[in-house]
Amino acid sequence: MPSSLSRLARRHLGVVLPVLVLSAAGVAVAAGAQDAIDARHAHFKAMGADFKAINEMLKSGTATSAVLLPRIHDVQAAARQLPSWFPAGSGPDSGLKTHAKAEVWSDAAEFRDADALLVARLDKLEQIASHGDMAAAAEQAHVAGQACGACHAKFRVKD
Amino acid sequence: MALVRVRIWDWPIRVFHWSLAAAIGFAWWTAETGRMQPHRWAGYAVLGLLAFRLFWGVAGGDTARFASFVRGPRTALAYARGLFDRTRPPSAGHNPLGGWSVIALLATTGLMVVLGLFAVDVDGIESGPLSAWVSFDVGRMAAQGHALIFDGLLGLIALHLAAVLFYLVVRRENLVGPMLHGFRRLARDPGHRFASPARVALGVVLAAALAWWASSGFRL
Repeated sequence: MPSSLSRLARRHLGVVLPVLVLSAAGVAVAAGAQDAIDARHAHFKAMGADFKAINEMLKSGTATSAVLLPRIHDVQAAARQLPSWFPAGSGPDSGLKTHAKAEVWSDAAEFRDADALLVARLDKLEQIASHGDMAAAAEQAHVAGQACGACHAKFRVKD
Repeated sequence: MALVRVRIWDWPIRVFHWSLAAAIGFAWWTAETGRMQPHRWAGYAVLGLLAFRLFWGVAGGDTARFASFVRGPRTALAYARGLFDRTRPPSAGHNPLGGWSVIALLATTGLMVVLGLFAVDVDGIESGPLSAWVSFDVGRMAAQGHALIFDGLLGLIALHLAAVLFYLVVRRENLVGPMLHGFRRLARDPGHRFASPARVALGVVLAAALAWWASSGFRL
Protein backbone atom coordinates (compact mmCIF):
# COMPACT_ATOMS: atom_id res chain seq x y z
CA MET A 1 0.00 0.00 0.00
CA PRO A 2 2.62 2.65 1.02
CA SER A 3 4.73 2.03 -2.12
CA SER A 4 1.73 2.63 -4.44
CA LEU A 5 0.91 5.83 -2.54
CA SER A 6 4.48 7.10 -2.85
CA ARG A 7 4.40 6.23 -6.57
CA LEU A 8 1.13 8.23 -6.86
CA ALA A 9 2.67 11.20 -5.07
CA ARG A 10 5.87 11.15 -7.11
CA ARG A 11 3.90 10.97 -10.34
CA HIS A 12 1.82 14.03 -9.44
CA LEU A 13 4.61 15.95 -7.64
CA GLY A 14 4.66 18.46 -10.47
CA VAL A 15 1.15 19.48 -9.52
CA VAL A 16 1.05 18.82 -5.79
CA LEU A 17 4.17 20.79 -4.88
CA PRO A 18 3.28 24.04 -6.69
CA VAL A 19 -0.27 23.91 -5.28
CA LEU A 20 1.08 23.52 -1.74
CA VAL A 21 3.60 26.33 -2.17
CA LEU A 22 1.03 28.69 -3.75
CA SER A 23 -1.52 27.94 -1.03
CA ALA A 24 1.02 28.69 1.67
CA ALA A 25 1.94 31.89 -0.14
CA GLY A 26 -1.74 32.76 -0.50
CA VAL A 27 -2.32 32.31 3.22
CA ALA A 28 0.73 34.48 3.94
CA VAL A 29 -0.48 37.21 1.59
CA ALA A 30 -3.99 37.10 3.06
CA ALA A 31 -2.54 37.27 6.57
CA GLY A 32 -0.40 40.25 5.54
CA ALA A 33 -3.38 41.99 3.96
CA GLN A 34 -5.51 41.41 7.06
CA ASP A 35 -2.74 42.89 9.21
CA ALA A 36 -2.62 45.97 6.97
CA ILE A 37 -6.40 46.33 7.11
CA ASP A 38 -6.47 45.96 10.90
CA ALA A 39 -3.56 48.37 11.35
CA ARG A 40 -5.03 51.13 9.22
CA HIS A 41 -8.41 50.67 10.87
CA ALA A 42 -6.75 51.34 14.24
CA HIS A 43 -4.80 54.32 12.81
CA PHE A 44 -7.95 55.91 11.39
CA LYS A 45 -9.85 55.42 14.65
CA ALA A 46 -7.00 57.14 16.49
CA MET A 47 -7.19 60.02 13.98
CA GLY A 48 -10.94 60.24 14.53
CA ALA A 49 -10.47 60.35 18.30
CA ASP A 50 -7.84 63.09 17.90
CA PHE A 51 -10.14 65.16 15.68
CA LYS A 52 -12.98 64.69 18.14
CA ALA A 53 -10.76 65.92 20.98
CA ILE A 54 -9.48 68.89 18.92
CA ASN A 55 -13.02 69.94 17.97
CA GLU A 56 -14.27 69.59 21.54
CA MET A 57 -11.41 71.67 22.93
CA LEU A 58 -12.02 74.41 20.37
CA LYS A 59 -15.79 74.33 20.96
CA SER A 60 -15.39 74.61 24.73
CA GLY A 61 -13.63 77.95 24.36
CA THR A 62 -10.96 76.89 26.85
CA ALA A 63 -8.46 75.59 24.28
CA THR A 64 -4.83 76.65 24.47
CA SER A 65 -1.95 75.89 22.10
CA ALA A 66 -0.40 73.77 24.83
CA VAL A 67 -3.31 71.30 24.87
CA LEU A 68 -4.12 71.50 21.16
CA LEU A 69 -0.69 71.09 19.61
CA PRO A 70 0.08 67.54 20.84
CA ARG A 71 -3.19 66.29 19.28
CA ILE A 72 -2.61 68.26 16.09
CA HIS A 73 0.92 66.84 15.81
CA ASP A 74 -0.49 63.31 16.18
CA VAL A 75 -2.95 63.87 13.34
CA GLN A 76 -0.24 65.47 11.17
CA ALA A 77 2.04 62.45 11.65
CA ALA A 78 -0.82 60.08 10.83
CA ALA A 79 -1.80 62.05 7.73
CA ARG A 80 1.77 61.88 6.44
CA GLN A 81 1.95 58.11 6.98
CA LEU A 82 -1.52 57.50 5.57
CA PRO A 83 -0.55 56.36 2.03
CA SER A 84 1.74 53.71 3.53
CA TRP A 85 -1.26 52.13 5.25
CA PHE A 86 -2.52 50.93 1.87
CA PRO A 87 -0.01 48.34 0.57
CA ALA A 88 -0.83 46.64 -2.73
CA GLY A 89 -3.14 43.67 -2.27
CA SER A 90 -4.84 44.98 0.87
CA GLY A 91 -7.89 46.29 -0.97
CA PRO A 92 -11.16 44.61 -2.00
CA ASP A 93 -9.11 42.40 -4.38
CA SER A 94 -7.76 40.61 -1.29
CA GLY A 95 -11.22 39.14 -0.76
CA LEU A 96 -11.08 40.43 2.83
CA LYS A 97 -13.51 42.85 4.43
CA THR A 98 -12.28 46.43 4.02
CA HIS A 99 -13.83 49.89 3.70
CA ALA A 100 -11.14 50.83 1.18
CA LYS A 101 -12.42 51.09 -2.37
CA ALA A 102 -10.43 49.75 -5.33
CA GLU A 103 -9.98 53.38 -6.44
CA VAL A 104 -7.32 53.83 -3.72
CA TRP A 105 -5.02 51.79 -5.98
CA SER A 106 -6.56 52.35 -9.42
CA ASP A 107 -6.62 56.16 -8.91
CA ALA A 108 -3.46 56.24 -6.84
CA ALA A 109 -2.41 59.74 -7.96
CA GLU A 110 -5.75 61.21 -6.91
CA PHE A 111 -5.54 59.34 -3.60
CA ARG A 112 -2.10 60.85 -2.93
CA ASP A 113 -3.44 64.32 -3.83
CA ALA A 114 -6.35 63.89 -1.39
CA ASP A 115 -3.86 62.99 1.34
CA ALA A 116 -1.61 65.92 0.39
CA LEU A 117 -4.58 68.26 0.79
CA LEU A 118 -5.20 66.95 4.30
CA VAL A 119 -1.51 67.33 5.20
CA ALA A 120 -1.48 70.93 3.90
CA ARG A 121 -4.63 71.90 5.81
CA LEU A 122 -3.32 70.30 9.01
CA ASP A 123 -0.01 72.15 8.65
CA LYS A 124 -1.98 75.40 8.39
CA LEU A 125 -4.00 74.42 11.48
CA GLU A 126 -0.77 73.80 13.38
CA GLN A 127 0.52 77.23 12.40
CA ILE A 128 -2.69 78.99 13.48
CA ALA A 129 -2.97 77.04 16.72
CA SER A 130 0.63 77.72 17.73
CA HIS A 131 -0.04 81.47 17.33
CA GLY A 132 -2.95 81.18 19.76
CA ASP A 133 -5.81 82.42 17.53
CA MET A 134 -8.43 79.92 18.66
CA ALA A 135 -11.29 81.34 16.58
CA ALA A 136 -9.23 80.98 13.41
CA ALA A 137 -8.09 77.54 14.58
CA ALA A 138 -11.72 76.42 14.91
CA GLU A 139 -12.37 77.55 11.33
CA GLN A 140 -9.26 75.80 10.02
CA ALA A 141 -10.12 72.62 11.95
CA HIS A 142 -13.46 72.61 10.12
CA VAL A 143 -11.66 73.10 6.78
CA ALA A 144 -9.22 70.29 7.58
CA GLY A 145 -12.13 68.04 8.54
CA GLN A 146 -13.67 68.64 5.14
CA ALA A 147 -10.57 67.08 3.59
CA CYS A 148 -11.40 63.90 5.51
CA GLY A 149 -14.92 63.91 4.08
CA ALA A 150 -13.74 64.61 0.54
CA CYS A 151 -11.35 61.68 0.56
CA HIS A 152 -13.93 59.36 2.12
CA ALA A 153 -16.50 60.32 -0.51
CA LYS A 154 -14.28 58.97 -3.26
CA PHE A 155 -12.17 56.28 -1.57
CA ARG A 156 -14.15 54.83 1.35
CA VAL A 157 -17.18 52.54 1.14
CA LYS A 158 -20.15 54.24 2.79
CA ASP A 159 -21.20 52.69 6.11
CA MET B 1 -79.40 55.30 11.89
CA ALA B 2 -77.89 58.70 11.30
CA LEU B 3 -74.21 59.14 12.06
CA VAL B 4 -72.98 62.04 14.14
CA ARG B 5 -69.92 64.14 13.20
CA VAL B 6 -67.71 63.90 16.28
CA ARG B 7 -64.37 65.55 17.01
CA ILE B 8 -61.89 62.81 17.85
CA TRP B 9 -58.47 64.46 17.33
CA ASP B 10 -57.70 67.87 18.80
CA TRP B 11 -55.47 70.29 16.87
CA PRO B 12 -52.36 69.70 19.08
CA ILE B 13 -52.44 66.00 18.19
CA ARG B 14 -52.96 66.72 14.53
CA VAL B 15 -50.21 69.33 14.37
CA PHE B 16 -47.93 66.97 16.31
CA HIS B 17 -48.60 64.07 13.94
CA TRP B 18 -47.89 65.94 10.70
CA SER B 19 -44.99 67.91 12.19
CA LEU B 20 -43.32 64.68 13.32
CA ALA B 21 -43.74 63.14 9.87
CA ALA B 22 -42.21 66.26 8.30
CA ALA B 23 -39.36 66.42 10.86
CA ILE B 24 -38.45 62.76 10.35
CA GLY B 25 -38.54 63.22 6.58
CA PHE B 26 -36.32 66.31 6.83
CA ALA B 27 -33.95 64.52 9.22
CA TRP B 28 -33.66 61.67 6.74
CA TRP B 29 -32.98 63.93 3.76
CA THR B 30 -30.42 66.08 5.58
CA ALA B 31 -28.54 62.98 6.75
CA GLU B 32 -28.50 61.47 3.25
CA THR B 33 -27.20 64.72 1.72
CA GLY B 34 -24.62 65.45 4.43
CA ARG B 35 -26.32 68.60 5.70
CA MET B 36 -25.42 67.90 9.30
CA GLN B 37 -26.28 71.21 10.97
CA PRO B 38 -29.88 71.15 9.65
CA HIS B 39 -29.91 67.43 10.53
CA ARG B 40 -29.20 68.31 14.16
CA TRP B 41 -31.96 70.95 14.07
CA ALA B 42 -34.35 68.30 12.78
CA GLY B 43 -33.27 66.07 15.67
CA TYR B 44 -33.96 68.81 18.22
CA ALA B 45 -37.37 69.35 16.60
CA VAL B 46 -38.14 65.62 16.93
CA LEU B 47 -36.96 65.71 20.55
CA GLY B 48 -39.28 68.63 21.29
CA LEU B 49 -42.21 67.00 19.49
CA LEU B 50 -41.73 63.73 21.38
CA ALA B 51 -41.50 65.61 24.67
CA PHE B 52 -44.76 67.38 23.85
CA ARG B 53 -46.41 64.07 22.93
CA LEU B 54 -45.35 62.49 26.23
CA PHE B 55 -46.80 65.45 28.11
CA TRP B 56 -49.96 65.32 25.99
CA GLY B 57 -50.22 61.59 26.63
CA VAL B 58 -50.77 62.25 30.31
CA ALA B 59 -52.25 65.74 30.34
CA GLY B 60 -53.93 66.17 26.96
CA GLY B 61 -57.36 65.42 25.52
CA ASP B 62 -59.05 62.04 26.05
CA THR B 63 -58.03 60.47 22.74
CA ALA B 64 -54.38 61.46 23.15
CA ARG B 65 -53.94 59.94 26.58
CA PHE B 66 -52.00 56.69 26.63
CA ALA B 67 -54.33 55.32 29.30
CA SER B 68 -57.24 55.63 26.85
CA PHE B 69 -55.77 53.53 24.04
CA VAL B 70 -52.98 51.30 25.36
CA ARG B 71 -54.58 47.88 25.89
CA GLY B 72 -53.30 44.45 26.92
CA PRO B 73 -52.31 41.75 24.41
CA ARG B 74 -55.65 39.91 24.71
CA THR B 75 -57.63 43.00 23.77
CA ALA B 76 -55.27 43.76 20.91
CA LEU B 77 -55.52 40.18 19.59
CA ALA B 78 -59.31 40.19 19.88
CA TYR B 79 -59.38 43.43 17.92
CA ALA B 80 -56.98 41.99 15.33
CA ARG B 81 -59.24 39.00 14.77
CA GLY B 82 -62.03 41.35 13.73
CA LEU B 83 -59.93 43.35 11.25
CA PHE B 84 -61.76 41.98 8.22
CA ASP B 85 -65.18 42.44 9.84
CA ARG B 86 -66.57 45.45 7.98
CA THR B 87 -69.66 45.55 10.19
CA ARG B 88 -67.54 46.57 13.17
CA PRO B 89 -67.95 50.33 13.66
CA PRO B 90 -64.93 52.65 13.51
CA SER B 91 -63.13 53.50 16.75
CA ALA B 92 -63.65 56.79 18.53
CA GLY B 93 -59.87 57.27 18.80
CA HIS B 94 -56.92 54.88 18.54
CA ASN B 95 -57.98 51.24 18.36
CA PRO B 96 -56.00 48.66 20.42
CA LEU B 97 -53.71 47.76 17.50
CA GLY B 98 -53.22 51.35 16.43
CA GLY B 99 -52.46 52.18 20.03
CA TRP B 100 -49.54 49.76 20.10
CA SER B 101 -48.24 51.05 16.78
CA VAL B 102 -48.23 54.55 18.30
CA ILE B 103 -46.15 53.27 21.22
CA ALA B 104 -43.76 51.44 18.88
CA LEU B 105 -43.27 54.48 16.65
CA LEU B 106 -42.77 56.87 19.59
CA ALA B 107 -40.33 54.50 21.32
CA THR B 108 -38.28 53.88 18.18
CA THR B 109 -38.15 57.57 17.30
CA GLY B 110 -37.15 58.30 20.89
CA LEU B 111 -34.32 55.78 20.69
CA MET B 112 -33.16 57.41 17.44
CA VAL B 113 -32.98 60.79 19.19
CA VAL B 114 -31.07 59.44 22.21
CA LEU B 115 -28.50 57.69 20.01
CA GLY B 116 -28.16 60.78 17.84
CA LEU B 117 -27.34 62.91 20.88
CA PHE B 118 -24.15 60.90 21.41
CA ALA B 119 -23.29 60.02 17.80
CA VAL B 120 -19.89 60.79 16.26
CA ASP B 121 -19.20 60.39 12.55
CA VAL B 122 -16.32 58.38 11.13
CA ASP B 123 -13.77 61.21 11.12
CA GLY B 124 -14.75 62.79 14.44
CA ILE B 125 -15.92 65.99 12.72
CA GLU B 126 -19.74 65.98 12.89
CA SER B 127 -21.28 64.87 16.15
CA GLY B 128 -24.30 65.10 18.42
CA PRO B 129 -24.55 67.67 21.24
CA LEU B 130 -23.66 65.18 23.98
CA SER B 131 -20.85 63.42 22.13
CA ALA B 132 -18.25 65.14 24.32
CA TRP B 133 -19.62 63.09 27.24
CA VAL B 134 -18.46 59.82 25.60
CA SER B 135 -15.34 58.43 23.93
CA PHE B 136 -14.85 58.28 20.17
CA ASP B 137 -15.52 54.54 20.19
CA VAL B 138 -18.79 54.90 22.12
CA GLY B 139 -19.81 57.79 19.88
CA ARG B 140 -19.16 55.60 16.83
CA MET B 141 -21.32 52.83 18.32
CA ALA B 142 -24.08 55.37 18.92
CA ALA B 143 -23.80 56.51 15.30
CA GLN B 144 -23.96 52.95 14.00
CA GLY B 145 -26.92 52.18 16.29
CA HIS B 146 -28.58 55.38 15.07
CA ALA B 147 -28.24 54.20 11.46
CA LEU B 148 -29.36 50.64 12.23
CA ILE B 149 -32.44 51.64 14.27
CA PHE B 150 -33.46 53.94 11.42
CA ASP B 151 -34.02 50.88 9.23
CA GLY B 152 -36.36 49.59 11.93
CA LEU B 153 -38.14 52.94 12.03
CA LEU B 154 -38.58 52.90 8.25
CA GLY B 155 -40.11 49.42 8.57
CA LEU B 156 -42.55 50.65 11.21
CA ILE B 157 -43.48 53.68 9.09
CA ALA B 158 -44.07 51.39 6.10
CA LEU B 159 -46.28 49.22 8.29
CA HIS B 160 -48.16 52.31 9.49
CA LEU B 161 -48.80 53.43 5.90
CA ALA B 162 -49.83 49.92 4.90
CA ALA B 163 -52.28 49.83 7.79
CA VAL B 164 -53.80 53.18 6.79
CA LEU B 165 -54.16 51.83 3.26
CA PHE B 166 -55.72 48.62 4.57
CA TYR B 167 -58.29 50.56 6.54
CA LEU B 168 -59.08 52.66 3.48
CA VAL B 169 -59.35 49.83 0.95
CA VAL B 170 -60.56 46.84 2.98
CA ARG B 171 -62.50 48.43 5.84
CA ARG B 172 -63.60 51.50 3.82
CA GLU B 173 -62.50 53.68 6.76
CA ASN B 174 -60.63 56.86 5.89
CA LEU B 175 -58.09 57.50 8.67
CA VAL B 176 -56.29 60.34 6.91
CA GLY B 177 -59.26 62.72 6.86
CA PRO B 178 -59.82 62.67 10.62
CA MET B 179 -56.09 63.22 11.26
CA LEU B 180 -56.34 66.31 9.03
CA HIS B 181 -59.61 67.92 10.13
CA GLY B 182 -60.18 66.06 13.40
CA PHE B 183 -63.70 64.67 12.80
CA ARG B 184 -65.17 61.18 12.33
CA ARG B 185 -68.76 60.09 11.80
CA LEU B 186 -69.84 57.81 14.63
CA ALA B 187 -73.10 56.24 15.77
CA ARG B 188 -73.09 58.43 18.83
CA ASP B 189 -70.95 61.12 20.44
CA PRO B 190 -68.68 59.50 23.05
CA GLY B 191 -68.31 62.86 24.80
CA HIS B 192 -64.54 63.29 24.52
CA ARG B 193 -63.02 66.00 26.65
CA PHE B 194 -60.26 68.10 25.19
CA ALA B 195 -57.60 70.11 26.97
CA SER B 196 -57.53 73.87 27.43
CA PRO B 197 -55.33 76.25 25.40
CA ALA B 198 -53.40 77.01 28.56
CA ARG B 199 -52.36 73.39 28.80
CA VAL B 200 -51.29 73.37 25.16
CA ALA B 201 -49.15 76.42 25.86
CA LEU B 202 -47.59 74.74 28.89
CA GLY B 203 -46.75 71.64 26.83
CA VAL B 204 -45.23 73.71 24.04
CA VAL B 205 -43.11 75.76 26.44
CA LEU B 206 -41.83 72.66 28.27
CA ALA B 207 -41.06 70.85 25.02
CA ALA B 208 -39.32 73.82 23.42
CA ALA B 209 -37.25 74.41 26.55
CA LEU B 210 -36.12 70.78 26.60
CA ALA B 211 -35.21 70.85 22.91
CA TRP B 212 -33.24 74.08 23.32
CA TRP B 213 -31.49 72.72 26.40
CA ALA B 214 -30.50 69.55 24.51
CA SER B 215 -29.11 71.65 21.67
CA SER B 216 -26.80 73.41 24.12
CA GLY B 217 -25.51 70.07 25.42
CA PHE B 218 -27.71 70.14 28.53
CA ARG B 219 -25.44 72.82 29.93
CA LEU B 220 -26.52 73.91 33.39
